[in-house]
Amino acid sequence: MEENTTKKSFFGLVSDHLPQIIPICTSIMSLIWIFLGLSKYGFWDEYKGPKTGFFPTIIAFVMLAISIFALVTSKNSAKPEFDRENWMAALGMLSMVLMSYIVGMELSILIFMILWLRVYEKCTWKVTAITTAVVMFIVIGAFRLWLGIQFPMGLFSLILG
Amino acid sequence: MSNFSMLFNGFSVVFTFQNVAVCLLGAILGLIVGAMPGIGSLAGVALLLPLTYKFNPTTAIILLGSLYYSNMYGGSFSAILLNIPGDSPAVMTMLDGYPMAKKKGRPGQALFTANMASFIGGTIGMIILTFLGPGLANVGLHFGPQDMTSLLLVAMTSIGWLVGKNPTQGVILTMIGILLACIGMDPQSGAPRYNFGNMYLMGGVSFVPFVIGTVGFSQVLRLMSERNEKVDDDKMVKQKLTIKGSLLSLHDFRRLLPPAIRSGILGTFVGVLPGAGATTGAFLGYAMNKAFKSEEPFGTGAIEGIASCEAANNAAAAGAFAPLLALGIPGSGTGAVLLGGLMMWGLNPGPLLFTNNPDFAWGLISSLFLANLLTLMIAIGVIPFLIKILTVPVKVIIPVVLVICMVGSYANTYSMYGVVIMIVSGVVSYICEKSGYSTAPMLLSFVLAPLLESNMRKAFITSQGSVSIFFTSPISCTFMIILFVIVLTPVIRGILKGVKNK
Amino acid sequence: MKKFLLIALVAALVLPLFANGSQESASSAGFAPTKDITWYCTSKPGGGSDIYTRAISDAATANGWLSKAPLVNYKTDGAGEIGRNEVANTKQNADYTLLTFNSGDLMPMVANTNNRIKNFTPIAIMATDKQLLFVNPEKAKYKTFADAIAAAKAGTQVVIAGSKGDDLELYGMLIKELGLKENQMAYITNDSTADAITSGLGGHVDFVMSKPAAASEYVKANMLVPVLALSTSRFAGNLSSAPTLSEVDSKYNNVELPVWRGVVGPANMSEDAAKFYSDMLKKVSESKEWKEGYLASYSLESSYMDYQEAKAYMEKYEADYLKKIGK
Repeated sequence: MEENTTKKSFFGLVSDHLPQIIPICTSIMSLIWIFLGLSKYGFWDEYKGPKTGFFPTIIAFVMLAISIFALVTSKNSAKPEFDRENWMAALGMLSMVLMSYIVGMELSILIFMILWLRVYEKCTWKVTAITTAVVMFIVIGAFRLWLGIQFPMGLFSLILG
Repeated sequence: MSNFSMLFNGFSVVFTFQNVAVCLLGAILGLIVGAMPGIGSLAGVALLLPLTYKFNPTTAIILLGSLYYSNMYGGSFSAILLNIPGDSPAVMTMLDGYPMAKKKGRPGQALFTANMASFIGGTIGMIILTFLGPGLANVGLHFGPQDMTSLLLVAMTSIGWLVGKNPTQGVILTMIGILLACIGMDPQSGAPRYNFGNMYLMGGVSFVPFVIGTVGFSQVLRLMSERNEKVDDDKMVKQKLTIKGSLLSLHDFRRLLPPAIRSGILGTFVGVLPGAGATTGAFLGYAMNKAFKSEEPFGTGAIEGIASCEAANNAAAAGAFAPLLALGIPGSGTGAVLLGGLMMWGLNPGPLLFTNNPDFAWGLISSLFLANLLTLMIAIGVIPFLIKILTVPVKVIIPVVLVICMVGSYANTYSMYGVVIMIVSGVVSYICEKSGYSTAPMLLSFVLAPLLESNMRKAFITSQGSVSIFFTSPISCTFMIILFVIVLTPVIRGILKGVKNK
Repeated sequence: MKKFLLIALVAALVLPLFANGSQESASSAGFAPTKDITWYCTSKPGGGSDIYTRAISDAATANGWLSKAPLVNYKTDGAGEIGRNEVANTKQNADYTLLTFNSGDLMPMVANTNNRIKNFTPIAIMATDKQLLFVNPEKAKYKTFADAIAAAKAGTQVVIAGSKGDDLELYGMLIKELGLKENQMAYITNDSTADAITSGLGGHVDFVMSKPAAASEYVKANMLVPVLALSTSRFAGNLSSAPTLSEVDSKYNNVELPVWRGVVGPANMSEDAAKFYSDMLKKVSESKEWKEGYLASYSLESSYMDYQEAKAYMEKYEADYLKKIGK
């Protein structure tokens, strides 16, 4: 439980300062775009007018200005609250993607569907089976067979050559 | 009236058993392909190309034309029911379609509105195409880079309508959309920029996975904490899941009609312009209609909102056929695929197509009318089945949508790169939305910025870096005046108010 | 009846095994495709590379050299680099992956990425192609290229529109030969030749640079007129009215950048497969469909090279270009 509270306080700290963190991030982004635009890609050509960096640099300057404005006025912004529950979906997605590198995407989807519905959501076997079957039908029947999308095979590709 | 008689001639070509059957097949396949996220008409047409070898060119193009066309209908299905756009023009449909289906419990009406508006928009587009055809294509030619630049600047101001309650945050995300769109190949010099040495970034951020992430995946993240509170809502939805419950009332229909007609006309002209396309059409249609009166505010599930973008994107799809058939110029990416199809059967799409192959050209146009009608009928027929999706509990929907987000992003790019874009943009969008940033302006600017930049740079090359070119061309100058009026009106109004208050 | 069905079912299940067996034995004698071939094309449908890809595929399918038309996969992302990289890295299915590959693809590829010819298996070179400059007869300020040179030297800017890649490269060679600066004779890069032609038809530029294929329909309709052949000799047919640069003014040398059109596969492609496709393309290059339907109608020169010759040629072209850009 102790671990949980320290974790929560860290995330709590981040989410409390999100109204400041986002404009800081966008300021950094615009600085990178301005820097690269001016130093590497060039701004204005005597003969041809705008060069590669012209458009992005101008836009980045505007973004920088507004980001600073947002940062200054950020104290009044509402602080967002995040539930850890919400991140479970991201975690699920991530594990599904990582698993595709091992067992291939189709099998990864199958395992994910069963684990998520049966173990995490505690659905009945019937609901789990029907939903999984529908999803597999769409993935394999429509995307794979009909549209001919080759999904990653994971480690199986090594075995099958 | 010669165009009209040519059209009838076209109908006589189309109305053979085989052609109608093929048109029906194309309409059904197009609906399915359109509804599947990540797969657009491009993939659909490419997949069907081998199948069309056995047909004569007219039958083959009817199949592809109806597939391309009905695809525009299908895109709205998943947008309205799952908040995941089936194709890129459906991004705008989501803004009102999903709230109308979910919060207002009127999924049937939302789908009905989308389909009726598509039908109206498409019909307007086709009528304009029939009567103005080649002339319309020439209108598109008159738009030089400077004119496109000014038009796009006007279009960009429409982002202002989408920004919502927090203008500062809205503008920041608009800018992020533009900066992200700058990643990839520089349109003039052909050199890579902002790719940070990454090969994939050299190709830019792919739009479809970006949209699936920004809208679909972030939506799932949000739904996670709401998944156990949905019991009452579901009951409410269940009561209306019959055809009768999905029908539009006369009042609804009256609300739908004016924006659909306005968008239909606007969309057709956007479709004709070089490189604009159905997505831009949908954005512009929505933004324009937001300036008109609507019963409910846009973005809260307004019928007018759904109608304005759906009508515009179908009209643009029809309009894109004008330069395609009359000049051999694809007005959009999807039009380009059909052009490839024409070549395959030994036809030479170009200025002589209407003269050399009138049966073919008019047969195609009349088949679009037929496809439009058939798709509407099929779409309305499947609505009662589709809305059953909403009776499925949210906790079961969540993993299904997660899988579709992943598979759709993968299928669009044929690589894990799309999946990575989807996850990153989804998580970032979720955090941003929680903090009061709305992501719709980002999507709009992402689509329009590359068009704006490449046209602006082309214009500057012809003017040797002088800004005057935007004011010496009459078309461009007109748009510039409109732009100044739009930008200055709120400023002047503000000043006047300030004076009065004193 | 039931028994019959059962036997039929068993037969249906067993048949693929035999089919597999025969496929095995066939592959030891050589390669013959048994699956769908995916053919990557890094231009938009309707572009020059697409017309070329389809011409090959049509000729090969019509004569039965390929039992099934290849699936054309358009990969225009990153100016085609993603598609090229994907083909280069294709490990599975390498024997069933082809890529339309031109000199116009090679130049930006080696300039902007680390992808090189060695990551591919060259299969053949089919044709060479050259460019011309066209004007829109209704809206053109200059009826001949000589007028344009004079105007540019006198300080009026002349604008040429063309595609990226080899067109851009050739423009550089042209202004160098003429002794003009980029502002005197400017160039607008378009995503495709079709876009360049669009701006020409609208009268927004003075000249359009195009290969004969993409412009042919407009020349027939008299919407574009050829005014300069970027070649050492004049073109044939309805393009013969255009003079070469030395004919325009004898003090200039002719400028040309012959563009070759080839086909490559992934580095992982087996030699058997490369040989099969190379032989198939040789038959295509000699077919009536190809000669009449493609080479003649698009004013191209046939220049077939088999997989070994093509490999040597492409490698030398790459080495020369790398030297030229100092990389």
